[in-house]
Amino acid sequence: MLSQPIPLALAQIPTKAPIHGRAACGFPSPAEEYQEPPLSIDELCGVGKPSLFMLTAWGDSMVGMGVYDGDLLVVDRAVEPKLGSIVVARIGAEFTVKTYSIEHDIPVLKSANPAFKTIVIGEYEDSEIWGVVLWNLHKLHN
Amino acid sequence: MNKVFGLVDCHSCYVSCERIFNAKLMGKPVVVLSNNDGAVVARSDEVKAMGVKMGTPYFEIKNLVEKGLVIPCSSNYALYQDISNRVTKVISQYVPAYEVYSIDESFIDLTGINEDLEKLCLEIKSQIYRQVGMPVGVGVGKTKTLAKLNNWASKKWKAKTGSVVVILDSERQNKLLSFADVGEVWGCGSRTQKRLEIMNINKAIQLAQYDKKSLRQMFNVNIERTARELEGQVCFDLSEGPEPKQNIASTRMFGKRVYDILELRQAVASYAAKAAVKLRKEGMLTSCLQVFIQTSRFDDRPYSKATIIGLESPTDDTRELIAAAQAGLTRIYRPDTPYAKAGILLSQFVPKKGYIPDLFAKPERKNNDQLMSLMDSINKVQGAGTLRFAIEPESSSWGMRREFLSPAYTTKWKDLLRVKIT
Repeated sequence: MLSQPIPLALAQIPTKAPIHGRAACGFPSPAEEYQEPPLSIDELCGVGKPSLFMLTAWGDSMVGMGVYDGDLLVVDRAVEPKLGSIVVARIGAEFTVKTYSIEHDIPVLKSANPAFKTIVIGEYEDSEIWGVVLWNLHKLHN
Repeated sequence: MNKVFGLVDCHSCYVSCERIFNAKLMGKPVVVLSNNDGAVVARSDEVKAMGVKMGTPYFEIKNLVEKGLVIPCSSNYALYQDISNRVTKVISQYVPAYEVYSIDESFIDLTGINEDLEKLCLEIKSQIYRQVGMPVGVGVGKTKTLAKLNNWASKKWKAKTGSVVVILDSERQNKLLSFADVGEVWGCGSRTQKRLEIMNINKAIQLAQYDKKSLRQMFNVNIERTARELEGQVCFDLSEGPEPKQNIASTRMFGKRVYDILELRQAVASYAAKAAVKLRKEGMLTSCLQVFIQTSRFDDRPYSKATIIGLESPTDDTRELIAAAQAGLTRIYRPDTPYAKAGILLSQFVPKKGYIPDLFAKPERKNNDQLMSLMDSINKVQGAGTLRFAIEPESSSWGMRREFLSPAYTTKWKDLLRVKIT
């Protein structure tokens, strides 16, 4: 018989106290054994890959391409661009978001804005494709 | 089986990290400055070509910066560590075993790999650039010491070697050993080099061929091992070397001169706390704490003093380390002195795991482990300094000066690189 109250034992890391399927009284959850980890956007986008980086886009929208001012871009440096890929390119001393294309068998970077010329990679300035935009996290509700 | 080691080395590591996100630094002379923008800690090739040496105080190159001839960056360790972790991840995709030796160097074990090693290393090099944007070089040899020397050669003849040098035959290795100064050898610091030169050991090959027993008698067993390694005999496996990590330092230059002992107390307490976090991460206990305070060496009346506090029993308790640091500071503090720098050095480690306390040693404070791991986990999640001891200030006048700090591109949402849609 208990003659005096015993303090509750504290979990080692309070924020990570385990949650068990079995309540103090009542039936064990029949689903406990079937538990799976929740869906993860990180996993979907590949967060944690050494080649994955996040950037923000700014400036005129890429009408028809679905990239708008303030969007969060998930960019993979290791992916090979395909015809029509949205890419982050370094042109001289600047980074820009453009569309990858091939014209006359030569890889080029096209601008969504017709005011900008199509750029042949490496023609005028030292330039390179920094990465390919895999996902665009565009916020719809504020 | 014959061992084969490699060393993957990031070229101008900190500068290259900055260049990944700042296209304006491409092809330009760039330096990265130490904490508090004190001195040059990293240089781009263009700056090396200008003859600016490692460790040059910032004020000596300030005129070059003002003329636009050199671009300075403050050190952005959050960024460098993230990029370094990414590089390690790529390395781990290619080799069965590796050792992160420092933020910009990793040893790899290539033993028994039945492939063209030069081709493999070129692939590792190009993948690290492709995936992370970091230029690296690789040296491969029969021992870690030779791998490091061969990496030095890959840098010295960058264009010719493509930054990859694989040497596994003695004839070619000896050719390089006859060329390289003994000071280029891993474990031969400038003091050792001077002593070796007095003994007429100037080139690496002379050290390799020197009588091993005499080396041990005149220096220590590590110099003997280094010499054996140069001959191709493996003495250091992964995670072993001539200078194992046997101390942890936490030091800073102050943003402005500090006279007041209270401010110094706060500074050394926060360094002690930082060092304690590192110590626990390494799973070590320390038995010795050194405190030092100093004025600028360019001061009219320079003052610099250090003292060692032996700890009664090995510990990793932040409270014990702060207390020891305070006791040490009281001993060395001299009033009316413009202090420019202070620091803490922990040494004489014993592994925490399996440590049996001395029967007569001072008992550990109650719940030390729980309290420390709770603090560490909260600070890890909520950010360093969230939970701290009362003597550690939130921010202070002696904090760091980082005038040219780049954003935390990979670790803070508000700092993401902004790219223009065009």
